[in-house]
Amino acid sequence: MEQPRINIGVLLRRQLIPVGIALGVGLIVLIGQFISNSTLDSIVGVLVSWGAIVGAFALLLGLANLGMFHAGRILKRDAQMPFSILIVASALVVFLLVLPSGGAGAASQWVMRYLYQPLEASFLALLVFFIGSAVYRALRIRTWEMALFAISAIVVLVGSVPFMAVVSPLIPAAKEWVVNVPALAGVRGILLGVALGIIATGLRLLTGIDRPYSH
Amino acid sequence: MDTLFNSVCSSGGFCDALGVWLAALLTILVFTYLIRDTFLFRIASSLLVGTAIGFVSAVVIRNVLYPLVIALVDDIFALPGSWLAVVIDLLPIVLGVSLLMKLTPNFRGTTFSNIGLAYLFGIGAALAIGGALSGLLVPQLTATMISVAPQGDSLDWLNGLLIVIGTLGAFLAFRFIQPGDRPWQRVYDTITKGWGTLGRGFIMVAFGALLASLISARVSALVGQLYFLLHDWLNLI
Repeated sequence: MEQPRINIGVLLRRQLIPVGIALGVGLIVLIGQFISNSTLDSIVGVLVSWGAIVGAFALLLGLANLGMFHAGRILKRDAQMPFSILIVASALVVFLLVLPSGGAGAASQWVMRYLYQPLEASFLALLVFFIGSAVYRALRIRTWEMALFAISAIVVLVGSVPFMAVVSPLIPAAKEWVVNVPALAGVRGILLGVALGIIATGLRLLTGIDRPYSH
Repeated sequence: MDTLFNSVCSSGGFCDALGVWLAALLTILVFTYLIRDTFLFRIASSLLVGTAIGFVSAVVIRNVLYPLVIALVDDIFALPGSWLAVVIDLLPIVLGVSLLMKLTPNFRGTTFSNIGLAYLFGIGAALAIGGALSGLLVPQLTATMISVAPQGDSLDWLNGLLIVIGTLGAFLAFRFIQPGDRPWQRVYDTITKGWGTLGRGFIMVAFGALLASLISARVSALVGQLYFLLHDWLNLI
């Protein structure tokens, strides 16, 4: 069987340049976070501000992708077409209202106060019912872990009610203890794992072991 | 646009009244999901997506890209004395344009189109490592060590000890290693497995507490929306 030809020059160019950029920029910013030096600080400041600008372009890329997706749906007269039209139209109207002031003007505040905030708050409020049904289903699993889960949730929930301090001062004290001792320990263990995971993933990216940008 | 908006809404009452009616209508549209997944609920979710996209994109373009273009034009007019500033303004634009090349089928897989992405990953990884080290790992380890230091109350040391045991246990709960054959390896594995099982209990207590906080927050949001409907919209209470 004939082996595929590998063009070393192309491979190097395709891998080396992006990896070099990621590694170089990443190491400078990483060192800049732990060493205090005025020159290094200003270089890191410029690199990070460039990162924000490139991030803004990434948002444009996402917007273009979203626009193309919904345009495709509208052109194909998909069953979801009315919702695509609504998304595009509302995005355009809000964009035109907010663009001149950049979030600080009266029009932006109106959009935020009467459009976005009620929608977001209603969606969050709606979650109460789903959490309720999820808790009911979770409590049907009879294991010692679920028992601890339920006891902890009930103690914290009941202890959070201000009226309970009148019934017995032990109830808020129990809630404080659960939050400040066992729950804190559990969260701390998870956070330590998360931190180590972030560091490992970041180092894999910086050393070029993972190269999601050159696929 | 703001001038136009201000001229229309200068009298005050009309725009606010329209806003309250719109907000009430949107709230009811979202709550229709309690009956079932209706067309009205989908209208509300599409509006949420559209509003969020429009708002974020306008803010980013107005606050990040527009000042950059203005600065670039100013620096170009100040040439040749401002060549360094022009380069500093142009480089992120080049990186950004390289990212936009992902949209074109011919340039999608080229080295140029990967440069912007590589830059973002490099910066992101470095900031994430720095943040995880100085914002998560070191403070959490320090707080855990401080918790076992002797304190005033006679029972505080017990709480501190529980925190240390629970923290290490929760950490060990995510240990998935095949035990070795040697006796000491088996003993070590049994201890860490047992400690990890205990840690799972601490994790479940933490999840229970987090769920309770989540329920409290969501109930507050529900009460807030119901109050808005009954007070601001219907003036019933």
